[in-house]
Amino acid sequence: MSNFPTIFDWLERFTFLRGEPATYLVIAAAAIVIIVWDWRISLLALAFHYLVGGLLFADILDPRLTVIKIWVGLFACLILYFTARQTNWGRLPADITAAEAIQLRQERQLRFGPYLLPSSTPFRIFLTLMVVLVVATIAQQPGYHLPAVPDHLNLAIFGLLGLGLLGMSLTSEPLRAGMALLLFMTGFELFYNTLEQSIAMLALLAIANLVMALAVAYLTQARHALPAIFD
Amino acid sequence: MFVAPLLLIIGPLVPAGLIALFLRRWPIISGFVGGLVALAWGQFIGNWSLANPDFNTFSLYGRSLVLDEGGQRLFVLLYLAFGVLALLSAVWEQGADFVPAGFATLSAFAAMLTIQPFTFGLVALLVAAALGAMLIQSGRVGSTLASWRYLMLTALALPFLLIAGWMLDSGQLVFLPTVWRLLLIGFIILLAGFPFTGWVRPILKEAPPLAAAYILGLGQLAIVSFAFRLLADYPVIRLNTAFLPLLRGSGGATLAVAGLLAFNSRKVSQLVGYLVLADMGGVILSLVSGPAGLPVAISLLTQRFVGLVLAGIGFLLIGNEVDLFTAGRGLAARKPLGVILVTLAILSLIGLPLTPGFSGRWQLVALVATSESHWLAMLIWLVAASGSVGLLGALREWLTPAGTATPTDSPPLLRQLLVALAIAVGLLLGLFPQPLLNLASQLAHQLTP
Repeated sequence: MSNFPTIFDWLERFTFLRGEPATYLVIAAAAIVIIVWDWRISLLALAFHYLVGGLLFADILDPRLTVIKIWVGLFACLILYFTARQTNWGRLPADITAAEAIQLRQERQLRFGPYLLPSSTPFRIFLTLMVVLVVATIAQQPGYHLPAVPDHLNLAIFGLLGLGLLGMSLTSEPLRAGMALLLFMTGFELFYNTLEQSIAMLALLAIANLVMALAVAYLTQARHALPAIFD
Repeated sequence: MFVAPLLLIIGPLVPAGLIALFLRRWPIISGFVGGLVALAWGQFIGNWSLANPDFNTFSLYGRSLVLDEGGQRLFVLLYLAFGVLALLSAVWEQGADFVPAGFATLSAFAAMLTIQPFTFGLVALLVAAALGAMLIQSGRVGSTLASWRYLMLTALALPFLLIAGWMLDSGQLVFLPTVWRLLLIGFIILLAGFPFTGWVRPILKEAPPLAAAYILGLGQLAIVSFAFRLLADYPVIRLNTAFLPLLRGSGGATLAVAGLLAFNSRKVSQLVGYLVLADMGGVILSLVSGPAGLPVAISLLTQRFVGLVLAGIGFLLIGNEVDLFTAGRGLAARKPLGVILVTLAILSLIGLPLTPGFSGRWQLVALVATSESHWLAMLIWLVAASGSVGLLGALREWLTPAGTATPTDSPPLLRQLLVALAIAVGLLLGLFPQPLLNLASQLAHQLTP
């Protein structure tokens, strides 16, 4: 009879991803959250960042506590997923034209061969690359090496903080900005949990993350409710 | 199980949940029920005897939840004030989620102020901010800018404060130069000091008026009390020579910016927003003075709350015309009660004599003038002058008769009575400010004995 793998088994299976590969994957997922305006892809990238982020947390926390981080992150994604579905993924309802909607004007689209992209995409790609470049440079400077943090985590922390801040500064649309806030929080928690590893703090941070996801969901509903579209 | 801190944290979640589940659709009933529950809960908290350590302390995962007399008195004040707001929301609807979110936010504030060491309270502050964002929205659809900025900036302050807290708790004074820098940035963000002033105005523009009074009055009172306690617990931070001058500089810059903006404001909500911002600068300046500044800060905050409630009722009476600063000709004839309330509120926020806000402003001037910063005292009066210019601009329009005769608005009798009561309270607190000053002094003494 085969048993369901334990957390230690999972860690064993994903050993090849631990360390620097996990850092690059987390930063890549965060970059997708910032660049891609399609909520479905952004949410998937956010969930992926929590899963791979778990490998980074496993470098600083007991693996059994790391699981809590992953579950909390996935629950936050679930909350945002249902909210996004209820608000039609941020798009106009089928029976409302762009001319009727005052608040949610559809962004101008640029055509790249057979594909349509929002006009701000090149700008976001450029800014994201700039932030990644700055972060990669800073993280290698000895003066910016965070205390008690392994090298690869240093890059992940700066990357998530930088991309989270960029995401929050690019939009005030609650769901997109909220995902950026969650990225920022992961970056911060990667550093803070290196210093403070008490159960009480982990529990409090888990509650804070879930309540923040609820608040983001609540604001998204308020922003995309039908009366708001016509107001 | 019946331990004071736990009751304070879990207790308000019960009415919050029940009202959100069963009464959300009827804001009048939820406001009335919520108001009565908050007043009764405040009275109940006031009757607790905290002499027994088994009742005032609770241990959880090696951390302590402690409610002392200062915290008890603070929460009595917060619940009574929230009770008044909730009852007013039964008369002037504030949104479906105003009352439940108000209770839930008070629960998070209770966790923030009772958990020791204080770093754990900071995470509760983030929870309070998330719930506060819902309160600012209060079920309103449309723009979420105010709620989002409030949540985002509190979340941005958290890392600075948490890392500083860890350094302080671990007792590693080698980090002191880093600690004060982190605390400085964190405090400035939370207290809307310059350059992080951008979240105050949107709240006054978008939030239901009484929700704005809650966040900018009661919420800030809880946060400022927390900040004073933190600085009192770690006197070593104040010994650093650069911390206080920089905090003072931020407070002064906030005052200066608010004064300039108030002078140029063209909308009433702008003017009130910038006057509240100036008040925030005043609170930061009182924080610089240490324990001596706490009574002043509490005076400023309670008087700000009174001013914002008066302004809120006035805004609700005036309705959509509230921002017709330049096109509001004849407003005083059409909506006299609203204009009287808004004028009284703005005068109070400016801090002119014979208004509820004067005594706090006077205390602040006396405080900063004795700390060898006479230019700050001058700045406070200059801000008052620029706010007065802004008010005169509005009054000139409002008092000018409109071209065509329009009937005077007459609200229902209950609202008229409440407005009369609000005006009477405003005038009485202006003439006899001693009750508010005594309250601030006693609360300050108990918060930082």
